[in-house]
Amino acid sequence: MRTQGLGLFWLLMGRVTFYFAAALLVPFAAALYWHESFALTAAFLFSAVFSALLGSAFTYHARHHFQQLTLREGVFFMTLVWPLAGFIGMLPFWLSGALPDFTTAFFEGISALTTTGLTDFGLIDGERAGVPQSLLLWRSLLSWLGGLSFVMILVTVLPHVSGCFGMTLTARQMIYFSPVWNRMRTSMRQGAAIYAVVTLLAILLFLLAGLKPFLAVTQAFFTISSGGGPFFSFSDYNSPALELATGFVMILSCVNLLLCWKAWDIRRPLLLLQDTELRVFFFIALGAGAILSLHFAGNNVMAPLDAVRCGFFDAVSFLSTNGYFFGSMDGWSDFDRMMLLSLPLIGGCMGSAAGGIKVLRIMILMKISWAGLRQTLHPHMVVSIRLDGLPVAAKIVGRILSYFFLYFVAFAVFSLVLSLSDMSLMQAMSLTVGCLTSTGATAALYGIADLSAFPDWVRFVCSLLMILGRIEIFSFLVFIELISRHTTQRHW
Amino acid sequence: MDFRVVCSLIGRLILAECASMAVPLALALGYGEESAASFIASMAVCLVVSYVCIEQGVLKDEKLTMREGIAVTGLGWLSVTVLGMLPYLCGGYLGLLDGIFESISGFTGTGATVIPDLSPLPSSILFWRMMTHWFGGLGIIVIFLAILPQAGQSSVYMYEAESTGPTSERVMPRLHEMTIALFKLYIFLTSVAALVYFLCGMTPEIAVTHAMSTIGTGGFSTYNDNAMHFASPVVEIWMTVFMILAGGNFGLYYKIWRKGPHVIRQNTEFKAYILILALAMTAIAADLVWAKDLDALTAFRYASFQVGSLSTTGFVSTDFDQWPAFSKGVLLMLMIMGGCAGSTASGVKVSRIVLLVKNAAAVVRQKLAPRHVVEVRMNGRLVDEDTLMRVGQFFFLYIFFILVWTLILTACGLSTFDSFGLSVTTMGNIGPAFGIAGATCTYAGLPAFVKAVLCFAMLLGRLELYTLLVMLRPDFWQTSHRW
Repeated sequence: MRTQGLGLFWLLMGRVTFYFAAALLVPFAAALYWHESFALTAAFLFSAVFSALLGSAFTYHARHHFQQLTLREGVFFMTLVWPLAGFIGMLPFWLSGALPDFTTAFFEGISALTTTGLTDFGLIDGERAGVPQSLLLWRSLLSWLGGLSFVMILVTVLPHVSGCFGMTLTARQMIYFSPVWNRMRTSMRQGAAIYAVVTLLAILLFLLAGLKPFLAVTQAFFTISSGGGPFFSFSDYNSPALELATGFVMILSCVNLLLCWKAWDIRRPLLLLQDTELRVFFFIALGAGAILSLHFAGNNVMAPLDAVRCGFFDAVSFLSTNGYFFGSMDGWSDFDRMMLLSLPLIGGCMGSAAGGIKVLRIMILMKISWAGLRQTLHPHMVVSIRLDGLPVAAKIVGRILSYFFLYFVAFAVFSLVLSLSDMSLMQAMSLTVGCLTSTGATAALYGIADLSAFPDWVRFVCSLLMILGRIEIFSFLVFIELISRHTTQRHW
Repeated sequence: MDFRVVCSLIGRLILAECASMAVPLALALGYGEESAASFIASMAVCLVVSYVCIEQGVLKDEKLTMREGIAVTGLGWLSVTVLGMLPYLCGGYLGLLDGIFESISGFTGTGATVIPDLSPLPSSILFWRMMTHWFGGLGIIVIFLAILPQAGQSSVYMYEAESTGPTSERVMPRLHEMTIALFKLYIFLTSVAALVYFLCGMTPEIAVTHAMSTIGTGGFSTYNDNAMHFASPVVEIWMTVFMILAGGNFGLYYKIWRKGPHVIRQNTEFKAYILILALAMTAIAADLVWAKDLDALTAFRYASFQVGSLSTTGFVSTDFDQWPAFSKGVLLMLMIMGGCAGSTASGVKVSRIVLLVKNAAAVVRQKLAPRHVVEVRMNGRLVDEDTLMRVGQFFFLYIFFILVWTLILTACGLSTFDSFGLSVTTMGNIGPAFGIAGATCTYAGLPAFVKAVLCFAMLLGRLELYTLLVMLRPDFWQTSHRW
């Protein structure tokens, strides 16, 4: 039994840091080009250099690494990459003085990275004043990178840490996730390629809808990573073409990227159309949109045409865990709010950058519930459920049930913790749902537009919660267990 | 499935209900209240219905099939609760929907009342309310089986359809002996509670009715302001003790009676139950001291009562609607958890929560040691995969229904938090919630559709979802099967 090193962990951390260093050069160049303030430009350059140095240190530490990923390396990476990337990501905000408080800046970084979208950015006395363009670019780029990191983790490390929670069921169980480093590199390249293609498509759609190039790029970054955020006001534009484009991009952000890759790889586009999960996703999106539109129109909150636009847009926005609002919430009843609070819990398809419990898991949970009713009559029956015609192992079903319980416990515990601050219980619950599903705007449904009025510890707890949502809670538990074993046991 | 057998048994159940109405009738005649007439009318209707059912039905010698057992339990509960509203309706005290709601709330042990003011009601009607709590607490099927001369193996499916908990654990091999033992224990606990309440200063009638409500984990009181009426720390402490006792596994109490108190050491569920309650009490007391500037003793008094109450019964000793958000959150979680399996309380049940937590820990350990055999144990025994699956499914369905009810209630115009509280409290058969149905309010002001939905939610929670839901499947009713 070889000695347990963390070589691959350091290697992966080093790579991530290098990518971020490279990415930081983009807003640096933009800041130079737009002649923005010296503090800002210097902040970008400094952050880039710092990350590069950090990356080299990590890579040097990883010079003796084994080829196959161990569980320890996977768990450590999955848990610690988020704080690290959040730290690097927040450096420009913090150093340039845009967000001088460390906790606020860190929260901003994590919020962008986990594609949540909650932001204290650009607020002056509660009003969103003009922000420097390069910082907005970096904010959107950070969101995009967050989505990219999540997809990277999804194709490499996640299947080995928490793959039993349904990951292996995607794409008709045709994808094999290899723990070997070289194979992982290939998967990472493939994942990045698909993500880039989808992003380019999004940029194109936004350009066609009439946005200026800068806005098209930033909006594409925000939307395709299912980050969202209040940086863009759709009601200002009042353009159905834009809403249609955004809707399409939001749906794109929820599509199973692995399935896309597989379909392209084996040249069978029919794979996408036959995927049950995608069909169910559309069904939920259309159904929720229809219900909301009917309710808006029926309550005379807005004109019928506006009701349809608003209903479908908001439904897709929250289901894809983006969190965009169409217009204001005047005249909304609590039913509309509750609908929009519940949709992110379903989330996008497995294999996308969206958050939530994922449509695949919800499908399996509903199927096992229906089959379980029959088991009341036949207690010794062997219940088997099928997905896309393929049987689902009982062990995986059990794990998914366990995952649901974990999710609920995380929701309960963190709602209680957040309720200790100066917010009502409903607000605490909506904020918890928002952070856990990386939606963010669910808190706005019940009155919390941003966290500026709350103490630092609330921001810290929310950061933890957002990371927890991204690493699917289970990895964090394994991490805690590993740490506690390490400190309470001796290795000999 | 033989409908005639089901019919005959339900007829007998209704007959038993009719006989039980004799007690409040005697009370009414004794006090000379005009409600005597409504009780006579109700008993007449019940007699007619049961006569029709028994005439149409057929008693058979062999064992009841599982479908018949479930049908008897499910339909039996529906008929008994609906017919239980007759005293309210015949006397003109409540309308049809309100009467059904009050009856269901009584039998399921919820304790949510649609009566805005209890004072004009005659004491026999109030006594009937409390009796419904008492019968529904242990379970009308269990009491029925205990009284019925020849229960035995033929009724095992009826018993299992009503009994609560993840596993069907039986303390004694013979069903009839066990139901008799449970019933005796139940009567004993109620009598002790009544005696203690009497010694605390309540009149005999008040003591008996409140004892029935406590041990049946109901929550009805004969006073409008519920337990706040007594305003006595001594009464509250004793009520807390009995409420917590009623939330424990009655099978365990029987074992303690037979084998001695050391049995508790092996029972994970009861230990977890007490531990969780203690933690909750401390947390809420600390929160009250910190946020509302109460002194420690008062805070602990309120906290302990409400914690003991809101996980099972639903008595109210203070307006907890004014409490800080954290305390309300803890109370909400307790309502979801409920009492122990095999108690008179509802909810997800402590044993399921324990199993879910242990299973999650086992999954983590299995991940770190894939070649180890990781086991989940509870109460000293190994729990198999099948049970763990069923527990997981139950939890998902429970939360799913809470969300569905919340959505429906918000569509009827209630606020989100109030709807959530109402869904949780009716599914868990607790009673009070927050906001519109808060600690000092009644359910009287809710729209009719909401009341109907909540009736269904209360029954669903009491019968642990599956018994009722499986009856909704059309293939349940096909008579072509032989099982």
